[in-house]
Formats: sequence, C-alpha cells, structure tokens
Amino acid sequence: MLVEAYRGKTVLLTGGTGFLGTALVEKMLRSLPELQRLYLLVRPSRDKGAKERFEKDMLGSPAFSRLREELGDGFEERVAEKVRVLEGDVHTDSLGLGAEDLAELSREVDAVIHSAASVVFDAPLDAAVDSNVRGTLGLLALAGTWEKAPLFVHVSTTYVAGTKPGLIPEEIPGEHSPNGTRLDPKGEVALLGGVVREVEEASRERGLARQFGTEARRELGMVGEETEVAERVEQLRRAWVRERLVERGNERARELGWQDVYTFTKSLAERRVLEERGDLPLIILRPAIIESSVAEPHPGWIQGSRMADPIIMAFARGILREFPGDPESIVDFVPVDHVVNALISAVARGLSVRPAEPEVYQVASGQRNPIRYREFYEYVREFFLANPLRDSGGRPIPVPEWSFPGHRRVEGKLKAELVALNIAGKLTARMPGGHLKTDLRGRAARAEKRARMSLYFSRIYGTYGSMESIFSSARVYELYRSLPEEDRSVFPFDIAQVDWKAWLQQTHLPAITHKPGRKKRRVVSKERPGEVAAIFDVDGTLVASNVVSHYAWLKMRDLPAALRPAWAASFVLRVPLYWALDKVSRTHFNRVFYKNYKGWKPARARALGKESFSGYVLKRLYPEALATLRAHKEAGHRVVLLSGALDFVIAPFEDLVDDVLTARLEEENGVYTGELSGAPIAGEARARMLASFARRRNLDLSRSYAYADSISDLPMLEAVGNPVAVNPDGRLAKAARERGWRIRDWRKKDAPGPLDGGF
Amino acid sequence: MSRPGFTTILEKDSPPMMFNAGDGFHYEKLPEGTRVIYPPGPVDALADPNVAIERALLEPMGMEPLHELLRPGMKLTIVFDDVSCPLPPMRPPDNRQLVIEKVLEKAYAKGVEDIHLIAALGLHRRMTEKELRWALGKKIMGSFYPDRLYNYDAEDEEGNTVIGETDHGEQVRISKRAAESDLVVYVNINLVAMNGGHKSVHTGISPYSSIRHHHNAHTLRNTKSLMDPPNSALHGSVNRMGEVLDANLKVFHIETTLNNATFPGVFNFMARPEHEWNSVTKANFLANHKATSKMPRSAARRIFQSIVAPHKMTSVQAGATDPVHTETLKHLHRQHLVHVEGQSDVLMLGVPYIGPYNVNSIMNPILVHNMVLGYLFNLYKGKPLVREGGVIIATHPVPNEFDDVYHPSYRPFFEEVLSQTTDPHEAEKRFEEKYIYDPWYRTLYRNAHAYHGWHPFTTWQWGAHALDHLGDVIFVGGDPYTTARMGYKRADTVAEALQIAQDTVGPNPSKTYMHIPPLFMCEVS
Repeated sequence: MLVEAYRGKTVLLTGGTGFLGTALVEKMLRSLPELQRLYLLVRPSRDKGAKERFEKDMLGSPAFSRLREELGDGFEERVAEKVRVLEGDVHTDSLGLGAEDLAELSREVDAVIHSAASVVFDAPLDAAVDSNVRGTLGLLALAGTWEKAPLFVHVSTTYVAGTKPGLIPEEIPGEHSPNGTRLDPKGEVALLGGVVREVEEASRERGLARQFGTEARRELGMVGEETEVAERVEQLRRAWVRERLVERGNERARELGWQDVYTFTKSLAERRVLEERGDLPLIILRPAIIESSVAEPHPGWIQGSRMADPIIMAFARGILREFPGDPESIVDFVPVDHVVNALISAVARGLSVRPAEPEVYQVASGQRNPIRYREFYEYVREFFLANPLRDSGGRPIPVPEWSFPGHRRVEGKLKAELVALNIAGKLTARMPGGHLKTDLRGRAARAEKRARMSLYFSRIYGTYGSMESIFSSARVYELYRSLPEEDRSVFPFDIAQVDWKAWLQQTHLPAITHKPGRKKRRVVSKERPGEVAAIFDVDGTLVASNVVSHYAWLKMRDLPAALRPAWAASFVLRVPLYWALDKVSRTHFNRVFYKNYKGWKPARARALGKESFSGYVLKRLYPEALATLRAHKEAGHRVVLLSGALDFVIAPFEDLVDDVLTARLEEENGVYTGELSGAPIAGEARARMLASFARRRNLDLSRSYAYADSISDLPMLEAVGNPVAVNPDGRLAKAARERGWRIRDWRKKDAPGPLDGGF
Repeated sequence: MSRPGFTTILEKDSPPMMFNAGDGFHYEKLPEGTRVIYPPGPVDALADPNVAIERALLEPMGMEPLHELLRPGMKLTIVFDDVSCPLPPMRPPDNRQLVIEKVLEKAYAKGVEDIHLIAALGLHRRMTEKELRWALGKKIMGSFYPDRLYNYDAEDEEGNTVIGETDHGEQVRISKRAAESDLVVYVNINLVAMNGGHKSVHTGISPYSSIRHHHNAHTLRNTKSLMDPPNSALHGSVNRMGEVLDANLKVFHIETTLNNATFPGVFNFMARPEHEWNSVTKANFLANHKATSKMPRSAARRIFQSIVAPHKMTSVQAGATDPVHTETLKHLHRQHLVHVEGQSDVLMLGVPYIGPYNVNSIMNPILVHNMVLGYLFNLYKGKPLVREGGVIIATHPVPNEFDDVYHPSYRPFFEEVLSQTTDPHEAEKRFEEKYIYDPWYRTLYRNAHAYHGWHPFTTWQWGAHALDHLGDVIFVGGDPYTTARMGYKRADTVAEALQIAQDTVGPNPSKTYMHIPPLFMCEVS
C-alpha cells in the first residue's frame, strides 16, 4: 500500500513550483496522509520570497481547488502540518540554506526528489550546464552527507536518448553518446566550461568591440552620451555572447547525437549523478512530453505552456503553415497525473527496497499507446475547425492544412523566404522614404515574423517531430502491475487506458485555449449576438470597373471635347505604370493614383460622380451582384460597401446599402489636394477598418458575408465567417480554393443566382 | 388665323386613314360613315416672345411686377418643368430658356445673388446634363450647373420640408430650398390642360408623402377629366395644397403655351388630313411607313426620338398662380379645342411614339396603357368622346420592351403586379409599398436617370377612370402577350377590331377616329 509506504517519511522536493512539482505536491498532500513532512526548496523570485511564492503562486493555483474543497477549513492546517518551505537555490553552495535548516534536512530527509531543471531548448550553454548539471551535482553532494543517506530521485527526460533510433530501454546511459561517440562526462563538463570561457574572451576581441561600438553609436546617433554608449556596447556584447553560447551548445549537442542543449545537459546530469552518487540509492525517472492531466487534480489541468502547446497555438493562429516533421513519427505525450503517480510509486518502492543498483523508469506512451503526428494533427485540426481561434477583431482564424513535406523542405523554404525578405529589406532601406517604403516594410516585417517563428519552431521542435525512437515503458508498467488494486485506482498510470482523441479534443485543447491570459483567443465568444452583415467590395466585385478607368471616364467628361483625344493618348501611356504599382501595393497605388484628382472641386466631383453612376457604373454593374446584395438586404442583413474607391463615386450607392466605407480626399481652399485623408482602404487596412467598424456596430463577423475579387481583399475575406471570392484574380482564386471558400463568377451571364444554395 | 379643327364623315371613296402606331404607322381604309376629327392648325405664334415675356413680367396678374419682388440679399429659387414637356422636345431656344434668361436678367439687375435653379421633376427621372442644356441653353448652364442648377430630389430627406396641411389632412411637403426662399419663380410650358397651375409645385417639387394625396387610385378614378381641372379630383386636392402654399410662400408663376406645330417638314403628313394629301405627301408617308415597318424597332425609335418640334410660343402670362393658369387654359383651348356633336360607341386612336414619360426612351406596355387610357381618352371637356361602355381601338404594337435604365420598376410591375391584378386599387393596396421603399429603385431615382420605383403605379392609375368607363380596349397590331396581361384584346386590323368591338357595343356601332397627333381636345356636346 502506497499510503503505508510513506508513513512517517520525509521528502525534500526541488522544482516544486514547476508544472510537475505542483501536481506532485498536490497529490502528495491529498493522497498520502501518512507522509511525515514535505520540504520544498523554493527559489525566491525577483519580487517574491519563497514563502510568498509558495502561498500565492502555488497554493493559489487551480491545482489546489480540489483539495481546498475536500478539506474545507482543514486545508490550511494540512498544509501547515505537512509542508515546510525552505528558501534556497540548488545553484548555490549548500542550497543557500542556513546551518540549522541543513541540520534538520540531514536528520529528517528519507528521499530527495530533484525535479528542478531548465526546460529551455535553446538556452545558452552556460545556463544549461549550470542548472541541469551543476545544480544537480550540488544537491547530490549535499544529500550524500545526510544522516539517513536518502533515496535520490533524479527527474530526467526520455529524450536524453537523443536521436538514437529504435527501442530505448529503461537503462542507465552507457559510455557512449547517442551517436556512439565515447563520452567522458566529467571531461565533457569541463570542456563545456572551456567553451564558455572561449566565447567570453572572443567577445572582448578588439575587432568585435569596435563593431559593437559602431553599432551602439549608430543606434544612439548624435544624442548618445559616452556612458550610454558604453552601456549599449556591453549589452550588445552580452547579446552576442548569449547568441554564440546558444549556437555552441546546440552545435556540441548535435555533434554528439542529441537534439539540443537541453537533452544534452540532462543526459550529462544523469551520467554525472551516476558517477557521483556514492552509496545513495538512485532512481532516474524519465517522463516524455508532459502535458495536461487526464483526471487529477482536475481533467485538463495544465500550468504554463508545455512543449507541444506553442506548436498547437501557432497552428491554430495560422502562423505555422507547414510542420517540419514526419507524420508517422510518434509524439510521446504523457499526462501530468500519470507522471506524478508513477513517481510516487517509484519513490515508494525505492524507500522500501533502497535498491543498490540505480533504477530507471520511463513514463512514456510510445510503446504501449502510441499517438503519431498525423493523428495528432488531425485531432487538433478537427478541433480548431469546429472551434477556431479569433483575432482581436473577433474574426475566426482559418486553420492551415499541413502536407508534411518533410523537415528539410519546410526549413529550406523558410530559409529561402528569409533570404528573400532580407534582400527585399536591404532594397527598401535604400528607397526614398514614402508610403511604398512604409508599406513594404510593414509587409516584410509581418512576413519575416511569421517565417522566423516558423523557422524557430522548426529548429527547436523539428527533431522531436521526426523521432525514430520508441521509449520502452516496461518497467513503469511492471511497477503499475505490482500495485494492489486499491492503489491502482487512487494512483493510476496505465498509459494504455488513455484515449488520445478524447483527451486532446475534450480535455487538453479546451484547456490550453481557455487558459487565463488567453482571453483574447477565446474559442467561442458568448457575447450578445451581433448583427449579420454582408460586406461588398465595389470595383471588380459589384461593378466591372476599376479606379483607373473610372477616373478616365470622369476626366473625359470634365474636359472640353476637343482636348479629350490628346489627354486620352497621354493617359494611356501611364496605365502600365499604375498597373505595376498596383501589383506592388494597392495601398501605394491608391495614394499615387489619387493625386490625379488634385485641384478638382468637390461639387464638380460629386456631380460627375453622380453622372458616372448612370453613364458608367450602371452599365457595368453585375446583375447577379445586385441580386445578391438585394437578397441580403431582404434577409435583414446589414449591407456594407467597403471600397478603396473615392466617396464621391460610391455616394450614389448610399441609398442601396446601410453603410459605405470609402476613401476620401483632403480638401483645401475648396479643392482636393490629391492626398488621401486617412489611410488607403486596401489590404490589411481594409480588414482593420472592417474589424473596428464591426466592433462599433456590434456586427457578428463570424456569421457575416464578404464578397471581393482581389488578392488585396484577402484579409477582409478572412475576417468573416462566410467569405465569397467573386470574379477572383488568380491569386485570390488559389487562396479561396485552399481555404474551401465559395467562388462566384458574376461576369458570366448564367452565373448562379443568390438563391442557388443560399447566398 | 389658323384653320380650326374639323370633323368629316368618311364616304365610300374616302382615302385610307393613317394611324400613328408607336414607332411606326398603320394605314387602313375605314368603313363608310366613320367620323374623323382633325385637330386645328397651329395658332399664330407670338411675334416676339422676348417682348411678350418682358411685358408679362412687368404687368403680372394678381401680383407685383417681378422686379419689385426682387431685392439684394434675398433667396431666389427658379423652378422649371422637366423633360416631360414639351413633346416632342422643341427646337431651341426653349420657352424655359427664354423666360429664365429674362428672370435672371432682372435678378442680376436688382443685385440678387443667392439664386438656385431646380428642375421640377417630382418623381420623374432626373434630366441629363444634355437635356438641361437643351432646355436652358449654354449660358445658364455655364453659370449655374451643377452647384446651383440641379434636379429636384424627392428622396432627399433633408432636402424637403413640411410647410403645412390642408383642411382635408393632406400634408404639404416641398423642396426645402424652395420653402426657404423669399421668392419662387415657377416656369411652365403648358402643353395640355392637365399641367400647370398648382399642380406644378405639388408634383414638381414634392416628395411621395405629399404626392400620394392626389396621385392615387381613388382620386384618379374620380378625375373626370384630367384635362378639365374643374372636374378633376386630382386638381381639387392640388388646389387645396395651393392654398396652403400661397399662405406660406411667395410663388411668381410664369406659364407659357405653344402651338401645335409638332412635326418638321419631312413628317408633314401627320398634320395634314388624308384627303388633302397630294402624291408627294402620300409617297412620303408610304416610304416612311414601309421603312419603319422593315427596320428594327430600335432603329425606328431612334429616328422618331430625334424629331425636334418647330413649336412656337403662343402666350406667356405671369403672376399669381390662379389667374395665370386661368389665362393659360384659355390659350390652350384656343389651340386645342374642337367642338364635337355627340359621343361615339367606338373611338379609334392612333398612338404616338412619344409620351411624357418616354422622352429618349421606350414606350413600354404600361406607358402605352397610360398614353391611351390616361392621356388620349382624357382629351375631352365635358363628357368623353366615347360613350360609357364603349370601346377604344388603338393602333400600337405594344411590344414587350422596357427601358431598364429609365424605367427599372416597370418591368417588375408588369411581371409581378399585373400578373395578379389589373385593378389599380388592388395593385396599390397589395404592392405599392414595396415599390416605393425599394432601396435600389431609390438609388436609381436619385443617382441615375430612373423614374421613381412607385411611378408605374401612377401611370397605371391614370387609366382608372377610363377602365371604369370603357367596355373594352382593343390594340390593333398589339402583342398578344402584353395586351392579354393588361386585360386588353388585340386584332390585326382595324376592321377586325371593329368586328370584335361589336360583341361589346352591338352591331352597327357609331365610330369616331380622333386623328392625333398633334394633340387636341374635344368638347363633346
């Protein structure tokens, strides 16, 4: 009986405030009433002491709600009776504890559970070695001096196996690295120390120092004081060191067959513990990817963002358009409560048996209940198709479709994209300042951010996504089977009983999308129901026209007949320029083109605009477009025209629709200046304008319709639940097909009407 | 002195009669004993219209001379008739141009600066720039268009205002600019007796909310006749509104009349009785007849619509609305009235290619109905030329053609409303609302050149009195589909139509052919 195994026992836990630690503390307090005492070594944070962290951050966590409920007023008492918080840090000598505390620990502790680690895949080498290796060794050395020669439980990870393919047994590491290189752990740690020093020294080389100086002065410009510059130089130097250390750490890790510096240093820790443990009985517990709980403390409990979650969120937010993994490889998830229960069972066994030989347990699912990336992706996609995330405007974000083209191709493509963006960035930097520059920069910045994030995910998680190893969990299963029936129900950890689809879709995904702090990304907004709108683009969608030919018509009307041919001839020459500009940026094109209206009188423009309605627009109006628009109106929808065209040419439509959002020209001294007042209504600006309009008018965009023809309207179409690509250009047609949107061609005489299959 | 209108009875050897039949003609020998009524010849034009206008402005009726009404700093609004008259459009300078130029001259002389010109189109279509230029001339256009010379907009909520209510509870709402003006000068061209007087303001610059009080199925059924204001319920309502208007607003009314010199030389056969035709006239007619029947209808329509009338001004009077209009009617009657003895069982009518609502456009089936039962039938004073229960035989192909730019709601009216009812009351009750408030029709009315969505209701209602009065209507050469939809019969020839008419009026009916155009009126005794 596990309860009995802990009778009168005392446990020291590090990493108690972490994800696994919190779950472990909760379970121990709830299900191990005979436990004598639990010492928690807690590191003070920048603004909170250890006690405060424990009381506020940990006990305040939803993990403890269940226990609070069960114990009622007895909760505080139970905590006070069982838990003792020690402010300290495994990185410092003697854990940073006083002699009294150390003496108490020496007297009392039966088992040390070392769960503190730096789970940062791209940590700089020095930080990773410090926390994962040196901290562990310091704790181990201390424990070795304690009276009870306590059981040392080292929480590691299954991924210490590195990139080694095949079945990974629950065994201590041999003398070789995953790719078969002979490894001297102690020597290796020393070597890494050398690398750190080397980088540090390199950063102080004169050439580099000059470079930092130049950059700092360029950044601070003429305003920088010498001290400021010096400060900035130091910052730049440290950043450089950090970057180099990340690189060097991962370089060395890969050289030896590990994925990254995290698994490399975790493995080094295991190896060093084995070397240094002396007489202490040792258990190494290696969980795979710990994710939200199946049942305890409550289903879906999770803390922080776990390993798979950033990828899931990036996918759901449409950032990760392709996954750099092998769809058939195993994604080895284990729910946190399984890890906790396995750990409690293993420690219980260790306390009673005190094994002479180190025992290794792998809490993993790959062997007994594997879930592959393809299934994982399908379950996740299915979930987000039904429950899309929303952006700040409340618009549902469409989920990408992954084709799994392979790690190399994804990275290759992303790298090529970044190179192109880099070149584009250099080119734009040389351009004279202006709207096009700002425009291009914004675009490039967004594309670059997306590509960089994707590449980051690809680099960090890529190797995890194409693992060819399977983690054996035979020992853990054996441990489970050794438990009496009663314990099995209180401390379940049979991974074969987990239904991955149900766990993902009903527990895990709702949990990570509903996490506090993710309010903006709530899955379903339950606000008062907004109005349904039908948003129409005008040029090309409602009317077979564009701003250039419309302007030409107006201008011809405005000119005396005799001057028209000459003007037309000169205007035609400029059309290719406008065309090219529009290809680069609709926004910039609008700004440039509308300068043609400079000097026009608003009244004359309005009169001509009205005249053009019958003389020009009506003849080019698509009957199906009008029928669709009217059908929306009859259905009680709010019909909105959202156009980059100017107000005076769109004004005639005002009676037909509920709202008109158009561009306007600035007036000065009774004439147009040719400058737009406000931003051009194109691309992202159009979507933003729609989003803010929808907020003001309480429109429910998820139930709304949008009709547009151009790729520049994509953001606007993406903003609504029912986008329709009308007479789409090639790029929009492709995008629409990819997204499964409806496509209508109103240019055809026999185009399907609004009543054929709904709107 | 021009030739008065006259009546002749056809004999056995009388020549065949020509009929206007829309964008073409019909030519058929009518039975012996048929009475044919010919219009009077054009009355003499004013020797110098400018002098006459000057005199009218200096010596107005029931009001101070115009120059005394003008002062610096005032708000002056000049309102003028729209494209619906004259018919066909007259050779420039148009009466409106002549009159308005004079008014402006006086206003400038008095230092008036705030001047607006509004085309009084009511719920008709907006005039195009070209049409405005035609009616007003380059000079006025150059000075005022488009800022201060524009089309009235009945659907501009801000642009119209209520000025009062009649004792019958009829709301009087008119153009806000006019209502806020110190003086409104209304310039009319009075082609028929129906128009002018108080009807000008209350249809020309009034929105539907006011027009509906006089333009509805009930009023129009009790309008006997439209061309005879004292016996018209429509004019009763309009005159009540006129009283409200006069109490609130100073309106200086200028009405002009034209003679019926309608057709240029090439079409002189239209205004000349058949028995006076010489071989050249006849050859000309037959050539035209042949040509228009062979060419596509759209081509024929273009030719007809290009006709510009050599109308001449016959009178101009100015001052207070009522005395001016009484004087105008006298001049109209001088040109139009023909005395006729007794009604007829069957009335034959040639339907011209143009009516007030299809200038530069198509006369669609509803407008044909409106032309025959609304206009031509009503060209009487006293009692109708055709007896109650009698039959009208009209020559027109009634093609199933609509101008969707100018008349966007007409085709839907024809397809949706008339397929269910031809009764003006029921149509009004069941369908009117939808057409009035349709946003697309409103858009087209305000911004394109479309008649108001409601317009087909009123053009259909114009025939309400005739529909009650008549036993049958037969269209010679009419499209079977369109005539049946409207509840009419068709025949290939007048002889066949007369045969059909006997089912309604009995054998050996009395037959009258009212030989139009040009338009004239019968005073039936």
